[in-house]
Amino acid sequence: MKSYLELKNVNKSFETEKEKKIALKDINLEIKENEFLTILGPSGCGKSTLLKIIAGFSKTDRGQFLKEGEELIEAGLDRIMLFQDFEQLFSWQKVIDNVEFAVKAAAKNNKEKLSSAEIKEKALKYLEEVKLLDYQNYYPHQLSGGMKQRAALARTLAAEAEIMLMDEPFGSVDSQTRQELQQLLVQLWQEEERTIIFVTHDIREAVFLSQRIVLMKNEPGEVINIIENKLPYPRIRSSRDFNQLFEKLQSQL
Amino acid sequence: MKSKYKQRFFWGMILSLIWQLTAVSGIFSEMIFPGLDQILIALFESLKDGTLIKQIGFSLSVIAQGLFLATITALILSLTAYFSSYAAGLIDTLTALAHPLPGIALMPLILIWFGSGKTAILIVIIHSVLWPLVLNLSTGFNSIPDIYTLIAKNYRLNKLEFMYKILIPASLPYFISGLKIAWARSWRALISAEMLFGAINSLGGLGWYIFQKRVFFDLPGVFAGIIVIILIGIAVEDFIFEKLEAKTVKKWGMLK
Repeated sequence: MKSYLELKNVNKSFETEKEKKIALKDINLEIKENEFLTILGPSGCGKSTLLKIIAGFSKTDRGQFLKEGEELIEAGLDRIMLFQDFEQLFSWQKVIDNVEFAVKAAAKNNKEKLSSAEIKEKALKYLEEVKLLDYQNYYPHQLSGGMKQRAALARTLAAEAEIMLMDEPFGSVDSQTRQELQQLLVQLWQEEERTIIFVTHDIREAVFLSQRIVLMKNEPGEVINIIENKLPYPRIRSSRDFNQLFEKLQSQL
Repeated sequence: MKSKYKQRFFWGMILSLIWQLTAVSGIFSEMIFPGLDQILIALFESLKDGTLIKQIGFSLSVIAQGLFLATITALILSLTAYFSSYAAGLIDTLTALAHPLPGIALMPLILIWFGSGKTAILIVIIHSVLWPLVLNLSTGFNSIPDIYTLIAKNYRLNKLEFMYKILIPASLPYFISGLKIAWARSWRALISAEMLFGAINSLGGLGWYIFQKRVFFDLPGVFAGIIVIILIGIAVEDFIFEKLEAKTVKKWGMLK
């Protein structure tokens, strides 16, 4: 049986002036459709590099990334990345136009013709999902960090990609906002049924969000364990099971 | 903001007063140091009989044409350089050679190749505008955040879409500051070129106007021309560019 997404013997290294650094060593991973997967590891373990390979931003030295059995090398609108950087929004466009950008790109990619009213309607729908409807006419610089990430999330959603790639998207917001955004993301994932691959170094974030946690270590970047997270949603951060899993992960990292 | 204009007004008044006192005192001959009253009369008379307005119109239309042509050319050159590393090498070499060369140094050559007249002035303006614009645009294009090129890949923008949806707006602060330099340089180049190249059908622009006044030793006329040149320079730099920035890069938070 073919798996939905598969990483097969992925290897990647970077050469610096002094040495050759192995960022990824023999990574093998299967990902199911509509799964919420986190890749958890310390900085420098190659988790972002792995995500870039899946996104098609970066090539492997050896090994393949397969979707339904076919190798994917180029980036595409089936796999949309949400970044950590606040700068990912276009500062010269209002929030609504930033989201419409994704709607238009997706429509063009699917060879759909949408009227400007339909484009706006879709964009508004996603802005509502991230609870940013009231800020549609703001420019990004007028928003707080958390709101910027909501707007960026709305844009990512609006591309209607089957796979969403998230590179520590909540890493730069305060912890209160981060928890709100995590909750929102789980809720959206449950409503919309998309595959999410989420990279983080925050153990609690991984436990709160995902169904499966891929643990990685650095030098060289390798998968050390893959752990099923069967805690029922919505997850309670203060529960005993939550903290047990947290401790188990912490001891392995 | 407000206090800047207040201060300028205040010091402008003081300087005018010193000027007028010097003129009235008779230290210098009236022939070479006219009073403000004479200068203002000369200014109003030239404005009234239309000669000055015509010259202003000529100068502004030439500079607008020059800026327009140079901006289009600079955009084409910088975009080509952005997308092709071969072209980048060539354009970089051309810019390095041409940028330090003052337009005025080219004038004898332009006179021989193109004669005097509007074409010659346009060429001087384009030369003075093109290279700083190319430099600024190229810097702007090369300093857009990497994340934008990743987004362009991810959303599968083609080169044209990437250009007008991301590259140009993202580098707008550099573009506008390039335009400011371009304006300042071309305004100076224009006046000197007009003086050298002279009139076509009595129309030679503000530079020519001043030059002519000097020939007739009409110093109030010379100063009237200088005042107009200063006022247009201030108007464009303070009002047009400030408006443009307020409506774009400042509104978008790209410029504090």
